[in-house]
Amino acid sequence: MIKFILNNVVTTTEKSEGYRVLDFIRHDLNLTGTKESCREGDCGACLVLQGRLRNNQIYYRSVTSCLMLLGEIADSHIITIEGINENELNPIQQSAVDQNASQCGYCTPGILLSITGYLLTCKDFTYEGIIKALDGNICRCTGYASIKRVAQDLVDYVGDRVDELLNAENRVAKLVEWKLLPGYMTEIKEKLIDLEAALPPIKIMEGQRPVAGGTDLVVQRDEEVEDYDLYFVNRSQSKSKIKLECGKIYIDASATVTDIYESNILKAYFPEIERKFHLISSTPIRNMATLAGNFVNASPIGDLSIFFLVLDAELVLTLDGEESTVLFKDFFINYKIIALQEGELLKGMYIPLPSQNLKMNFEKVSKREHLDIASVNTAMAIETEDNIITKIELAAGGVAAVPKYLPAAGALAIGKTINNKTVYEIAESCVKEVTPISDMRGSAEYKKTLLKNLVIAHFIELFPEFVSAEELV
Amino acid sequence: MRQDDISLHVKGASKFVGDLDVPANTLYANVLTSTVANGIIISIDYSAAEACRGVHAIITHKDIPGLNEIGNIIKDEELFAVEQVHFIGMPIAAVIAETDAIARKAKNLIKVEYEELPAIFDPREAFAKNSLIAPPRIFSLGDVNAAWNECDFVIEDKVESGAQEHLYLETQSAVTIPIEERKFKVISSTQSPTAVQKTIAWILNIPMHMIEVEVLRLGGAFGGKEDQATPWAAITAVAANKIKRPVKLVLKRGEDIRQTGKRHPYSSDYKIGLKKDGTILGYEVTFYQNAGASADLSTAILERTLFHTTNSYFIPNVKATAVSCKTNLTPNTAYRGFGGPQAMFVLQSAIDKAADVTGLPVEDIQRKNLIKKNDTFPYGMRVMDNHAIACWDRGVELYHYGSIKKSAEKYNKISHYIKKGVSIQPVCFGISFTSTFLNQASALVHVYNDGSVLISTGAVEMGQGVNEKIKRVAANVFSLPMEMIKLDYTNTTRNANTSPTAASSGADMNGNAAKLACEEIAARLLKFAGKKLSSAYEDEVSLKNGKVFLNETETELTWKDLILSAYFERINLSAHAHYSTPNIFFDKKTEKGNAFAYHVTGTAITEVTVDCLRGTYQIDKVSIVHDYGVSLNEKIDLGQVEGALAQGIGWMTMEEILHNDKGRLTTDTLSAYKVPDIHSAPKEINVDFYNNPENSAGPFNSKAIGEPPFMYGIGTYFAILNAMKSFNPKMDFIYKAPMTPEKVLMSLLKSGGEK
Ligand SMILES: Cc1cc2nc3c(=O)[nH]c(=O)nc-3n(C[C@H](O)[C@H](O)[C@H](O)COP(=O)(O)OP(=O)(O)OC[C@H]3O[C@@H](n4cnc5c(N)ncnc54)[C@H](O)[C@@H]3O)c2cc1C
Ligand code: FES
Ligand code: FES
Repeated sequence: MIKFILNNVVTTTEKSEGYRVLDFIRHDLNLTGTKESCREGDCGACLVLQGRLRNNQIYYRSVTSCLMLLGEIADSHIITIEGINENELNPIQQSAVDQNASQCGYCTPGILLSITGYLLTCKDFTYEGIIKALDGNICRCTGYASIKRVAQDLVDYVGDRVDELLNAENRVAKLVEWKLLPGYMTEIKEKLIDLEAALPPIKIMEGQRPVAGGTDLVVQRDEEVEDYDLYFVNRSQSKSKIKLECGKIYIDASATVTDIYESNILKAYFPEIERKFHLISSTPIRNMATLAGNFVNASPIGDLSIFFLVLDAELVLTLDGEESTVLFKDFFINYKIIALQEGELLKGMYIPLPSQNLKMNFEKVSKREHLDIASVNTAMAIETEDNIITKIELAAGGVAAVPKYLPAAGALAIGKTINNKTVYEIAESCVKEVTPISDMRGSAEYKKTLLKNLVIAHFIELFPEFVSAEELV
Repeated sequence: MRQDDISLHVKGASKFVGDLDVPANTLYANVLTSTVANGIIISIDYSAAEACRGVHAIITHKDIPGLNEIGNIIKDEELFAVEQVHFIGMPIAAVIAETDAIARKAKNLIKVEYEELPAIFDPREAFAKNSLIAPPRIFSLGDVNAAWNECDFVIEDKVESGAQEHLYLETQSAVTIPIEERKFKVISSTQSPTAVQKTIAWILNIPMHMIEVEVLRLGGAFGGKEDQATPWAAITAVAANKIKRPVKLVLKRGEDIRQTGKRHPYSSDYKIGLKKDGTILGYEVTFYQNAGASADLSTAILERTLFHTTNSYFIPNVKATAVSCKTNLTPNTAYRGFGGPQAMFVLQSAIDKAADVTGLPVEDIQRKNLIKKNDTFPYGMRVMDNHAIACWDRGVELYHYGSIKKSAEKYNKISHYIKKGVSIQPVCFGISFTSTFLNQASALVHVYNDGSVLISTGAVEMGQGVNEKIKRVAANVFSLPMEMIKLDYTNTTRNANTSPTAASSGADMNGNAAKLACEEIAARLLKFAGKKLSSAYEDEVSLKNGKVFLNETETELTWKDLILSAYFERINLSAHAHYSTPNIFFDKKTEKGNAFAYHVTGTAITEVTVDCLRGTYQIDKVSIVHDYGVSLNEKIDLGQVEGALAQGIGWMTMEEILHNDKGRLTTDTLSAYKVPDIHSAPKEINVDFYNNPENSAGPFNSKAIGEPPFMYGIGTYFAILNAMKSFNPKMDFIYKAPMTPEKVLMSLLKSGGEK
């Protein structure tokens, strides 16, 4: 039996853990404000908010209910559009009406929930932040201009009370006070505490299939997933997902993309991480998608795979309680073949603390800049002394059967001075190491050209003073 | 509390077909479709599907009591394939089961064997093999052949534009409920309830009066539900007729993308001739339209391509040939602009190339050749006003086009691989269905005896705000607050023989019909009020803000009292009115006539930034002057401009439909087919309302709005191209849309590009 709170009602179901939350909301509960449009996480029509209790606090996040399985929402709070309604329209709803920000209306519930989710989670409150929170919502009618005006209205509504919001001891209560959330929201925590006691301890059993965020598995196994015997990796997650341990950074397998770029530890070493990781999927998908899922699905264009391939990462695996390690570079063997045995779980990853003079860059080009799979992505980590390359690691995606580590280009570069000639040689060498195929993300020829240019871009980004775009491009 | 659509939307309370409570005994359909592009069906094995628990029936063409036909303009399309399939995605049968999931699983167990036949996917190949939907048509003006001699420059080239998926967020869906014996109620997500009704009537071989089609609202349509909502509704009707239970069908996204048509891809050849000063003297163009496997609306769409051959420009000598080519793709269909955008893209490409060849600034050529009052369109109609020039000049001045262009040039001198590009794009679009008979609408208005007003028209609400506009019309006539008026769902029992809500004309025609009906009731009421207030002349009585006025002075009589006493006096408080657009005609023999009630014009200035290292771009700003007439609702009209613009930009930039060499669509998911998101839409959109009161064809001098702004998106293509030219002036550019990042990067490196 799965127990959770839907809006303000404690709900139980005997449905299978692999049943889709979207289907449960729409068909079993007949709450039709949550819409289905793509069923693969790409439009946000089905977006809901999920709140989970941790350290006596509820943490909310936006998620796409079409990819979320019932097993994943056990003991949590789910908010649908019906759950933000009160007798009067709230200020965001009212602004959407006033700005005519809903035309056909099909995307509207998801959009309003994304904005509400932002209010519940934001660490900073800005107009740009609201817009970014909408990166998982497709609207085919409005051209987004009126939706942007709603964002502006909300900024005006909060006005000079931003600090009051950010520093509020109880943000939910503050939002209720400001009429941005309905009153019942303040009682959810107590209700969740009552539920939480029911959580059983879980260990992976033979024949069970691990599922983390589900953003890969549920898309790939759309029709079968309901009948799988699933092991919900995230239920037995460790408390702090990213920590410093024995001079290394440890990232738990269950860390989501959001966890990773919000981590202060990672931000300290890779200041650009937040900006770059915003190129990965969308807010709700980043909230669900995990490190393990990205690695294990072994997609040749996995963004996290490419990013961490250049950081000397080491993976920790567990099988029947036995731990072992494997270098991340050796993890990808062939198309969708990885160094992971049947039943073995990915537990986490260590990356050595980067040296003081390590510089890193990540590039991704896709047909649409956001919420799209890369045509080509690439990462470079480089260390130099007096402008001479002492260490360099390169990787690229979309150009081979696996996320491709590019050792040859690196080897060639060691000891060379960074200048146009060196950069050009490295870029050319990268292209020689790859074997892209033509598909809907671009022709093979394009992918090679793009890789070359993106490698050049690494250097233009990191060493603008030593290389000149004029000659390289 | 407000009960209009938008107030429901923001609460998640508005219902679409998929959301409706259906009777408990409802069954679900899933459609088996062809997996080959052209082939003879040799055998079909249904046994495994039939054996599935929960499967009630499998329906095929054999279950159709009437005609197995869904073609509307030309009867050339089977609902269910009989012997041969003509495209991948063509329906063959439907599994009817207890649940949607069971129906889908069972469908996957059906085995079909085909004998594959050669297939055609390219329109020019189809043309060469004489595989045509209809004979070619030619529009001409002056004498192009004579014109070339007078030109200083004659330029020829080829231009291609791609398909576009509608991506309405609500997929195709319908439910048919048997009422009694052969009486059915169909709830369909269609722009064209009458087409659904009429088609089901001939399929089931029953009169139209046995079928009631209702539409609550659509979760977007954009033309994609004009003709192509019909087959899905018809399938539920055939099934309901056979099984005598309600049957529902909601397509999954992938099914919807694979099984429905798109905007037509075009391949075109042109020849354009200019004088040294930039005057365009001649334009000859041939459009090869890729229609797909059957006619659908292709011929009507191609006709509109011909009508918009010269867009906002006057060209004295024109010859435009248009061919609808039959291929083995899913039949392509209506999409916002209806063939107009394809024509305008060709001409803009020609002018762009002409600017390069002649060395004249492109905007000088554009401005010089804009239409003026009394110029002639190639179809013989006269230009009625100078709005095209007025919008252009206003745009140039208001948005400082000259200095935008200069500062982009200045920026590009300093910046090496990040380049700015600017373009200016005029649009002129004709309003009316080009099939004259479709230019009619009706409205049924009831004033209930509590004073509330209910209006039913043939217009379907799909987010374009037609209900609000019609409400405004009624509110104006009755001088009532909007809350007193409600638009009912669209229903073929309340309004018969309706035209599709399309061609941007929904608010014009249905608004005018509603106006007539309201005026009829108002006239009766005024007469009655006159008597009641013992005024001899009814024209001294008027309605204002819910009150009755006598000689401009407020009386004690309120709207509500008036209605109630009129009711007791047995005055008819309902009216039905019919509207047909006056003064339009078109003669297909001469290809001349007054095809449109009026034109909508405007100009867009687009500014973009292109990263020539990565091939990526960003749309910084689009500034528009748009001719609204007198807007019935400025917020709705603004939303239409912004939304249409984003779709037009999508068509021109990232939206790319790809097939493999077997004709299978490879971009059949949202992860593969990209439409603009909040980041890729223009960072800033400015819209200036060019107000003008002279349009008598729109209710209260308003103008149609749905389609024209789509074509402002064409400007984005040329703004990106201009930025690219400043990086590589010698680029050997192929005029082909969409301008994906791949196209940008690979074009920048194209021959002549060795710098
Ligand atoms: C809309 C959308 C956009 C996307 N955009 C991007 C993008 O921009 N870039 C990108 O790289 N990816 C993208 N993806 C792909 C996907 O989100 C990522 O690969 C994600 O990281 C997968 O993580 P997950 O936790 O959801 O995996 P899941 O679906 O939960 O699992 C994926 C696989 O890993 C296995 N698995 C999960 N956890 C473990 C474990 N601990 N040990 C062993 N096996 C495990 C599962 O059994 C399954 O086979 C996108 C997906 C969607 C739906
Ligand atoms: S239905 Fe599109 S994201 Fe869930
Ligand atoms: S309002 Fe129609 S999709 Fe957003």
